[in-house]
Amino acid sequence: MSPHDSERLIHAYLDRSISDDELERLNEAVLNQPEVRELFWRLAEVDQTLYTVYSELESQEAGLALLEELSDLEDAADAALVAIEPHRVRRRSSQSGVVQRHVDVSSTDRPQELFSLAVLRVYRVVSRDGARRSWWAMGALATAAMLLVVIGLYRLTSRDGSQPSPPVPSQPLVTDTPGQTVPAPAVVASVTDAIDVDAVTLQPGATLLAGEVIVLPRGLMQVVMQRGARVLLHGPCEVTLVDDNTLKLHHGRLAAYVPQQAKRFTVDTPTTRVIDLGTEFGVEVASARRTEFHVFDGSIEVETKAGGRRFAFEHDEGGTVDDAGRLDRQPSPFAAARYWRSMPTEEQYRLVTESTLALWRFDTLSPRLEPGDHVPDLGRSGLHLRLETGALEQLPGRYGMPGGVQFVGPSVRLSNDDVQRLLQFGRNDSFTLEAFVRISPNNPNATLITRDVAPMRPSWWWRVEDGLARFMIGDGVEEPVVIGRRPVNDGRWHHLAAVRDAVRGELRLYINGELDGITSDTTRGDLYSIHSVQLGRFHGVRRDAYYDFQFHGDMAMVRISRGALEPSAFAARQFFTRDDPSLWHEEFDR
Amino acid sequence: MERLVTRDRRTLQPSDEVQRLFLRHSAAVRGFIYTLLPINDYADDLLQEVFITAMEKAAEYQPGTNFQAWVCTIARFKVLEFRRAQARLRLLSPAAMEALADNAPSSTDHEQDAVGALRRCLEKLAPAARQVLELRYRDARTPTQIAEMRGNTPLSVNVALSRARAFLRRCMDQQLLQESPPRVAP
Repeated sequence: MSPHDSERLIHAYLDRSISDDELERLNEAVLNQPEVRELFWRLAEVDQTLYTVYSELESQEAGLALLEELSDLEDAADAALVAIEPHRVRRRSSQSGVVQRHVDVSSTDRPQELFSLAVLRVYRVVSRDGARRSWWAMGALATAAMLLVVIGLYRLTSRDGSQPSPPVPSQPLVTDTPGQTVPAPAVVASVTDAIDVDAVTLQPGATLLAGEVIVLPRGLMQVVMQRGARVLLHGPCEVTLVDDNTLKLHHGRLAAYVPQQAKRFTVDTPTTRVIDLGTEFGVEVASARRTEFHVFDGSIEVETKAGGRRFAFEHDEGGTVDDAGRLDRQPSPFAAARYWRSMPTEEQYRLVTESTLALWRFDTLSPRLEPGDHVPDLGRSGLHLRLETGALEQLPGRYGMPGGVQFVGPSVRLSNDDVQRLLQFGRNDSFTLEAFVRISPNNPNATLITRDVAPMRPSWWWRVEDGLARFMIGDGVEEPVVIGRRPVNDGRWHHLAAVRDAVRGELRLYINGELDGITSDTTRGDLYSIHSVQLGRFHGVRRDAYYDFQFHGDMAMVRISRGALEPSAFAARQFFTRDDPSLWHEEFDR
Repeated sequence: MERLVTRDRRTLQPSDEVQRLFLRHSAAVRGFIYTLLPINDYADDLLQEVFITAMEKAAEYQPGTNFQAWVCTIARFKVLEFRRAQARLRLLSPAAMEALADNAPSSTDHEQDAVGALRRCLEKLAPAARQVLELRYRDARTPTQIAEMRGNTPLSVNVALSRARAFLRRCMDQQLLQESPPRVAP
């Protein structure tokens, strides 16, 4: 019998919902499998403790009600104390007048023990009188009432008769909410789509305990450690909270931002200890034999478990350590793209994980990209673009906000050769292309994104021609094109979208969420192309600049999504806000 | 304080000593009975029976030996006696009960800690999960009854109970581990 089966049958037995057939199987397992017997004891303990806790609460409520009717509380207390622990009476006598009605029973450490003492004492008395059952309930109830007084005394007088010390306040922990503090050692600050096996534990604000194991099958969970480290757990992953500044990562991925006061925050993995030296970094355990780490900012120290060697890593560096203690040091300038470094909104997360195939944001890149530099895929499909020719220069957007990149030079091309298998669309696949761009009136022709080979070959492209957006798909036979109506090369930022809606059999274009063009999709075959995805230029090099459709302008973002997105799901609303005036367009408010 | 307690102990009679020890171990004894006989009313009745028998046999108990083991032997006898008399109840077979009793943990002294740990763990449960547990353990409803009350299927109630109990078990283990010496300051 599997452990899962055993557990189910034992619970069914304890719940008294077991069938005859199941009972027979359980009998056999208990007789023949020691591990089932061991599990039985553990499950029964939880079951019994649950009954104890709930019956205690009930008894306390009943006792409190009766307490209101007792006229002489101190006599009641004396009676209970004499019956239970005579030496406490003496101590209590020296504390005359301390009994109070507002005893806090629920917060006592030992109500069950005292309750047991009192109840059994009453039982002994009534059983001697031969009035066992009839007196039992009343006696227990009365004793419970007395017990409240006893507990009140117990809490008011510590063992040496002095007042109990107030609890030592733990170091307050600042969360995302201004002014909010939480207890040690860590707290769940926020959760996105995270479903634990015990989902009940993963509410924002839940306190995590030292030794607690967190299992995230999916989603994100941000945990704030008591010392201040902010850790973003990426599902699927499993971690153990070791103490207020240490996590153990069993498998999966996490990103950590560590403020100065949490310096030396440590991520313990099967092969490595990653120790912060004031930084932001990511750690991934894909198997028990290998740990990968990347420094996004600052520096870290990595200590190998095998051999105990230590290495320092700086900004944009990373590497792996295996179970033999071997270090493979690698530059990782775009590794950060594989991690969430801040908590997205539910909607952002859902869009990226559920529909986004690739997402490139140019508004957060370094000031200038040269050939060989990469633009990371934030969709975490690993479709990082490599700048092949030309340069990309960061634009200082208005009001100090980044404004995207400018395509500089006569021939700027971004591509990814790894997308051979990815981003391929079949005859029944809907997809959406989006771009945030600014094109000057001097540049009427511009390639946005293409996967084009040659005429009459399966392919697709999206470009601006004579100032109007055009979107073409081809299956090798049919090549429908939809052409927009409004010029987009007006020197302003626009959110453009091209949608292939295979369900409705349409190609659509949008400007700032407004429908700009529509035509029928007449293709019947697949759009599979042997060429890579290109941004900014068509594939190949032609001498005629017109046919190159070189993009001369500014670009802030490009996204490719699965499905025919409606305007409400466009990136304009998901990734940019009115707070970013350089990228926000008044039409988005409609 | 220590002197006072020592003096009290010197004057104890065997029955007083057994009573004192029984009170101290009563939760563990109750747990032992409950595991073999997981029906609360019967478990409580048997606990009383065991108490009476222990008091009657107080003179047989050798001070300094394992009291819990001694009294659990009495409890085991009582449970099996009860089981044989109540053949129609859907309970483990006497042989399975014997095997289970043989596997009983040697000490369950942490019962009070377990109660405290469970209370803290309960606070972490979502309201919906707590409600199901209350119906099950406070109101003694069966999963089928709970399902009817909540408009769910019994299976979904069983799953909810299982998840909640699995979480509580894990949480309790962690809490007890945290509380075991050396203690970690909160």
